Amino acid sequence: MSNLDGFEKIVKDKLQQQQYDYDSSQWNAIEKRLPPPKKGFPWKYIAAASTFTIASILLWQLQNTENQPVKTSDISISALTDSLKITSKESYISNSTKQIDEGIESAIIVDDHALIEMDQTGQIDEPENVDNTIEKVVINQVPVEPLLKDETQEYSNLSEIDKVDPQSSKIARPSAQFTITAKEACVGEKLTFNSLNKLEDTRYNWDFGNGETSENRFPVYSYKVPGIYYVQLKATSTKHEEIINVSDKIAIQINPTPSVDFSWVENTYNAVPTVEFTNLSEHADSWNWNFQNGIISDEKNPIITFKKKGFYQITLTASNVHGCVKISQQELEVVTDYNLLAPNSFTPNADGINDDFIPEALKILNVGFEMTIFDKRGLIYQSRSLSNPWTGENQRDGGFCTQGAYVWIVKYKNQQGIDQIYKGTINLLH
Amino acid sequence: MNLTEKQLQNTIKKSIKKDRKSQELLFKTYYSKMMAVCMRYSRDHDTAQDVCQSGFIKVFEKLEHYNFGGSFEGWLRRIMVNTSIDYIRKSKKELKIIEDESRIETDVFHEDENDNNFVGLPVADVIEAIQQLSPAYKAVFNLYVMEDYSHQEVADALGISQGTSKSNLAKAKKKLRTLLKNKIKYDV
Repeated sequence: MSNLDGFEKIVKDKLQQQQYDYDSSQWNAIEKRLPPPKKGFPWKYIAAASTFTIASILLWQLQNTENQPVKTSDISISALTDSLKITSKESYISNSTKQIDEGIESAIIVDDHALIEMDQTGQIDEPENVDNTIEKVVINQVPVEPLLKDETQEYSNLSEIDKVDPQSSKIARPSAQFTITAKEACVGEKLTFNSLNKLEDTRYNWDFGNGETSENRFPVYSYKVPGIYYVQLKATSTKHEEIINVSDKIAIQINPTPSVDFSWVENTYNAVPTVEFTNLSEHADSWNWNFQNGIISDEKNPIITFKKKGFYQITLTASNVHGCVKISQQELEVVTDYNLLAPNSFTPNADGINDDFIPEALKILNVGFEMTIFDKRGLIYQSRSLSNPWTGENQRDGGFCTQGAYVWIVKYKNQQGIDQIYKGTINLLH
Repeated sequence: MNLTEKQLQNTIKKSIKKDRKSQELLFKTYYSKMMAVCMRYSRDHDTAQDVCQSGFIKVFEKLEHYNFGGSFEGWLRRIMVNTSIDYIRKSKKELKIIEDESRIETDVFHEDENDNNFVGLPVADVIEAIQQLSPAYKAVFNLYVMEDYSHQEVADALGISQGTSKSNLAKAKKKLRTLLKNKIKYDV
């Protein structure tokens, strides 16, 4: 607050300049009142027991003074002053044991108070204050016992830091803290909500922030609509319905998950038969195809040629920037083998029929290619032109190949620029 | 004496485990500042020392409840302020009795040019004057001026009405001016 007036600022400034030299005797005084370090001897229990005894005697005596005029109770308290001093010193020790009845603690507070009260009434230092007269009257009229009781209640109200709900200190309060497998997830992703409460006898009320709830301790839940949801857990003791802990609302972001689907069209009558796939996915930014023929693709709508007949499991994985992934799989049947429409034999005998070899498809495709022919010992012929089909020539020794089986390999780039490799065998007959 | 943030965290953690040396280090580090708080609420140096001791004992008892998020010094101060007010409350009923708002309007003092004369006063004189205030005035003045509480917060802390907080502040200032003027006379 900055709206202090000039006078207040001057005083504040002065008071902030206060400095006090460290005084080790102060520490010594505190150290005496602190609970002993943990490995202490059972002295504290003996002390606690004696405190208990003294306190209960005291309490008994105080109770007996009820309804009696102030003067007599004054006397009884001053008579006890010495023993009171002892108890209030020891009260710190007994506090550390935490095993004492509540009644004793309040008795100690009462004692403490009684001491100070005695002190203060002896010397009131405000003759100028009009209110003091009233105060004196009040003190003199009220019997000691009710006044002290009043005071102890006030004490517990006053010291905010000390304020402990008496119930919570005795009955264990279930924790409402929890963890979630992820704070950001995809639609449909299973999330496990994990209560950190360790107490039995707890009722769990989960609110998933979309009107849905659960009473499981570790519920598994998945959201169906993208958005931000606020999850809250209420943990209630089943033994004491009023003992409840409610967690903060924890935000979870649910991202859209792609929907994935695809269809295809087969172009069986082209020189190179293809299957054109159409991607029907939504909310996706990237795709991965696996055609189970050794070919994978990350194109959206790939065009693929299957060389062997058979059944293919086509898998499309669609994912988006949130990392949400969905997979779809369908079966495709390829009814015929395809090998560039290459014949499996030729007769290089200059009779005008099947005198040379080149896969028929290359004649239609009109692309650059490389065809190589191998025998058992290696490469014997190579061509990059439709006008140079293999006529049985052996480029390695300049001779002519004998009858037998030879391997051919054709490489070319398709329209998408992807290397296509075909292999086959060709029988050379004379 | 100043600790780095890391040293402080370590010292607090060790103190929670009741390590004497660490407790002593915390006490040494904050003694001057906390004593300054207690002095403002107390009637004399001895009382201030008593309250300050009780405050530190509370600190060591409650240390495990300190969440390392907030300012540790602020946390200490709050305990000292609460201990001081508790002490006043326990020792006197006075806080509840001074609710005479009606007379206040005429008592309100406005800014005084002579206030600047107080700038030259020794710190000790100002503290002494504060200590001479009645416990209720002391509490209201300290919470409002030194702890930056609003009147509503003062009222809540002391269990009085806002009006009483305002009137007590005005009265506290009037009394304080008188006390400080006397100091000037004696000093000159």
